[in-house]
Amino acid sequence: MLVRRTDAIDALADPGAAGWGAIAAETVKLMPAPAAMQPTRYIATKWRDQAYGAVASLDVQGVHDGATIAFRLRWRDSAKNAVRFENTDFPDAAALLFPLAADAPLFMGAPGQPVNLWYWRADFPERARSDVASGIGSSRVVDDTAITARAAHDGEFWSVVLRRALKVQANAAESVQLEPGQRLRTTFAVWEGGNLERAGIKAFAPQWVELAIEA
Amino acid sequence: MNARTDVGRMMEGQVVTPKRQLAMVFDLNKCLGCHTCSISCKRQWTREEGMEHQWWAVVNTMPGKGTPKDWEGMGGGWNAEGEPNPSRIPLRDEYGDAWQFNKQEVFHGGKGVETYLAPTNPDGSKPGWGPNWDEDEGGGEYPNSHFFYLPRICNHCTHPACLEACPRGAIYKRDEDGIVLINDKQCKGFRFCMEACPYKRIYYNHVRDISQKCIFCFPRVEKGVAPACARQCPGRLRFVGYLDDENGPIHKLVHQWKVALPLHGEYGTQPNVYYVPPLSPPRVDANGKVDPSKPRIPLDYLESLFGPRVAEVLEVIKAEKEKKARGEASELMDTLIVYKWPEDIFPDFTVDPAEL
Repeated sequence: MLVRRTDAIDALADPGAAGWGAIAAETVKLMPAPAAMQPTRYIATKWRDQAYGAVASLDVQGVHDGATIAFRLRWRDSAKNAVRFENTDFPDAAALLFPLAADAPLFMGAPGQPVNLWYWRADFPERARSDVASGIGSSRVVDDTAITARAAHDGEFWSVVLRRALKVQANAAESVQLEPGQRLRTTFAVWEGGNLERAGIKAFAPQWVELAIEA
Repeated sequence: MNARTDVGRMMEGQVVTPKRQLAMVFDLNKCLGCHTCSISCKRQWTREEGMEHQWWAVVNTMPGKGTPKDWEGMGGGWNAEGEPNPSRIPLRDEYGDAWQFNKQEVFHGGKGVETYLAPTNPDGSKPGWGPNWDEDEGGGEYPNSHFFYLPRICNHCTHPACLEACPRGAIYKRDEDGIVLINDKQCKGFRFCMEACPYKRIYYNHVRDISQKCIFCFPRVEKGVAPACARQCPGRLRFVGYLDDENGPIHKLVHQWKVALPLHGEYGTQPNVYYVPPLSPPRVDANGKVDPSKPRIPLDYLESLFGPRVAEVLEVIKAEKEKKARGEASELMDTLIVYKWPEDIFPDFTVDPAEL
């Protein structure tokens, strides 16, 4: 997938901006994260016979202007879940995952092979968290200000634009560092909050997506 | 950062146990249902925003639906094969929400004679339950109606279902005293623990997006001060101590006299709060005659809560009580009476917090 260079990135801050129509989208196929990969017996047992991870695909677009990168994620979800008050409220969410080590496994990294997650959730629509993880259950928040977001739900689809500086100074070692001309891998996950999806109960892309950041 | 340890986890077919285990024994024959325990806990620990609806220590009237409503039928814990029992997250209204009252309208709005004080849930709905909704209702028909009080806190289980359910290892059991804690830096508010706990003693803080529960007053315990619920209890029914302390009341009641029983032991988590089951007056028959052969609280009901040893325990208590009444010595009765407070009820935790 090509992350196109543009000189009008601010015109693409809004997920509904007309400019996104001119940017090629990659459709990433998703599947439920397998029960066998759930980190606890309780979760595996509880969800063994329950459907989850039903979001089948995600459309991804990317642009940058040499200083800032923006991704637009768009997926079908006819029920907006953005509130978190009742004990059973789990907001809709989506994430990008970038390896911070060459061989980091796609499912949340591993000890010594960390991954950086950009995690957006509908109860905080205007920002995404940057998390680092070195294995399932190990993620922790690195920063919750570096990645900004704008989100829109049109009754049928979520569209979310995530923006970050290509390079970040704070927590540099725990954040993916990007530059024009770079090729790197990423993958994605989507949580359907209305189905009580959270943690490893999600739809995820079981393969890396190759990103090429246009020089 | 990640404080994951094996204590409290099933490892190769064995639950890893802590070096020592703190426990409580509640003597249900002494509980007067005053809720001082609940209030002392509330004032100490759950006054912050997001904790308004949290009651880490509750007192339920039994028979009753409890807190949260019908928690006994919700599942969780371990089945006979040691597999986790699926359950669900109870709703705010099932626990009892943080009600708001129309005080302005009633007291200052000039409508004092037309309306009345009524609670509303924070989402504007009418409450369908509360933390003490069925107080003193109990069970049975007059003249055999009956109830007793059941104080409940986190059981700081030996094999906590909450701890094993958490995908983040955010729940841990301390090696030095077996207290089960949620690390609020590690918790991400996924709430699998609320599902897995069969006693439903975990609450969700929607402001901080974390789960929270009774902490056995560990900051007090570390300074030799008894947990607030125990120290403030006017009935002096909450014994606190280490299970392995052979000179302490906990060991005496649980292991020596064997009169303190776990609540719903069949849930499989091996709780560390024990209950001395309640005696009750005799039943009255259809002719109004007292039938001393049958207790007012049906034995099968008590057995459904405290297991098959209830009858045996009640016989021991009755026999020791009669000994005491005859002027004979009874170590069991002396232990349960608590002549000297606080040293007889929590010998290792006698420090007065006001002196610290």
